[in-house]
Amino acid sequence: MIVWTIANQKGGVGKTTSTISLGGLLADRGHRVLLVDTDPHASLSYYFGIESEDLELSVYDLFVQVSTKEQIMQSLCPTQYKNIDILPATMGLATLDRSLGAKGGMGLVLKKAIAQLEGEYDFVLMDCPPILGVLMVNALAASHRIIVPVQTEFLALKGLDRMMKTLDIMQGEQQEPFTYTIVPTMFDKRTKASLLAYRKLQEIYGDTVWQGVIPIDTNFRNASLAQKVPSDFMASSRGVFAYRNLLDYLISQEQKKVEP
Amino acid sequence: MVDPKKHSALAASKKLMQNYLSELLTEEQPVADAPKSVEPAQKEKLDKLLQQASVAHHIDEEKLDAITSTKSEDGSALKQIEQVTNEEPVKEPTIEPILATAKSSAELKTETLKSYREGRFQAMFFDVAGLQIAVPLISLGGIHNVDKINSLMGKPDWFKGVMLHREEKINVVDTAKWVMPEKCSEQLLDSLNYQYIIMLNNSVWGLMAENLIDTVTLEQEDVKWLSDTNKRPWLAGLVKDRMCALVDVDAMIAMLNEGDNVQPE
Repeated sequence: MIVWTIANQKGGVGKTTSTISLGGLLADRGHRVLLVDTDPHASLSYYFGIESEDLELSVYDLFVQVSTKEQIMQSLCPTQYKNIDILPATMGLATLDRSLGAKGGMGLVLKKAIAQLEGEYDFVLMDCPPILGVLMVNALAASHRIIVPVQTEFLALKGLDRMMKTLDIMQGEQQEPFTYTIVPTMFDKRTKASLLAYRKLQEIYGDTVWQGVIPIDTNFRNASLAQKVPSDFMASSRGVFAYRNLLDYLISQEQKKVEP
Repeated sequence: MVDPKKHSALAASKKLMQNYLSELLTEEQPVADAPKSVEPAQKEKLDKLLQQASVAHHIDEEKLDAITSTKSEDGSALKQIEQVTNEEPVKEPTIEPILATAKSSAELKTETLKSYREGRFQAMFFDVAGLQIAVPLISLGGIHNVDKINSLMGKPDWFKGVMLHREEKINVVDTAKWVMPEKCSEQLLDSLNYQYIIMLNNSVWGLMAENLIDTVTLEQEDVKWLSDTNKRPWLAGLVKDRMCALVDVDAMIAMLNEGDNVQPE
């Protein structure tokens, strides 16, 4: 089971879109996929038509009680795609930082919960809130690879700098080194600013930046309106094409990790 | 050349972040295994926490972050709650009344920074009988689903009863009866469908809610702040565009702690 976390401390950079697009493509390839929504805004959950406030169990419950595998399985919601399940978020998650503070070991709750699902899924993709707190720390600590979407514009580069500092500090607490991939998103080839920001990204972060770009594509918005994963909504769109290339790259990187 | 003051503030900020992440990513020892006397490991942990406290103090001086701390009176244990935000710095901390909580029989002196009285703040909205009520997110202790509530004899009408949650007792307040007792007809009470308990800060008190609506970032000017709090000390103000009550959580806890004779009006 491979766990990827999609994170950036800046909002609106394409985290949820990346989670859904990659999840959809993995499912298309026959993998069993679990999407974990750790954002109190629950956008990922709403995308699949889940009214999270009506649920009896959610990610929130993992934090307030020690959960068995059966209880975690009960928290999962099926989607219209047979290979995609979702662990939904609720608004109550917004209170966790306040109620838990920096309570010892609370950054490892998701890691332990996900470990119990070994064998049930091939890939787990976690969508993070755009705030550094107990939820993001949990998602980062649980992941094998961190995917950092970055909008190709200069303000977003500043946000990325902050995210990289967080990873750097957190690295000291981790046994395994973080593996991360920076993904340039919302690339608009008509604007010079996009191109300059993309070049700057490569200049500063070198090999950790994926060489491709995710372009601006209105099909992402239309897919969300239709509550379909982009590859199901319009498989031939340029956005889906780009995510397909990204997925190929990410999987090749995972294969490199396990090669002797 | 790097400004030494700025460098020191950045180092303190990084140290604070390291401590925060370290706490989150380090397992706590089960209470049963903890030695009764102060063993080296425990001392080390206390020292670490004390170090954090000194870092926190430094940060406060530098007006970088807002930090609240809770410390037991007898000094036998130290619990620190840090709230690190990137929002505007707060001014003077307000000393709140001494409160007793279910988590500790000792009295706790709580310092609460009412950061929502300055700059932007987030509030969560819920509703009861069609009335929207807002609670500053920083004063929210948690949200629970309504479970079995045991009513107690001789308590006021608004005291719904006690609910057990993870072996802790929650004093449940019937929000409609507290907020609008004059409108609580039998018909209205029958129509209520309480689903959630909104916990007030770190207290044992929880307000019953029918629905959770949303969380919204508010500016100071979005609220009509009430200065005359004699009639309803728990009412901090009114959120203008929704015309709903914003709860002063600390004042409400103080009223509820005052005892059974305290009436909302």
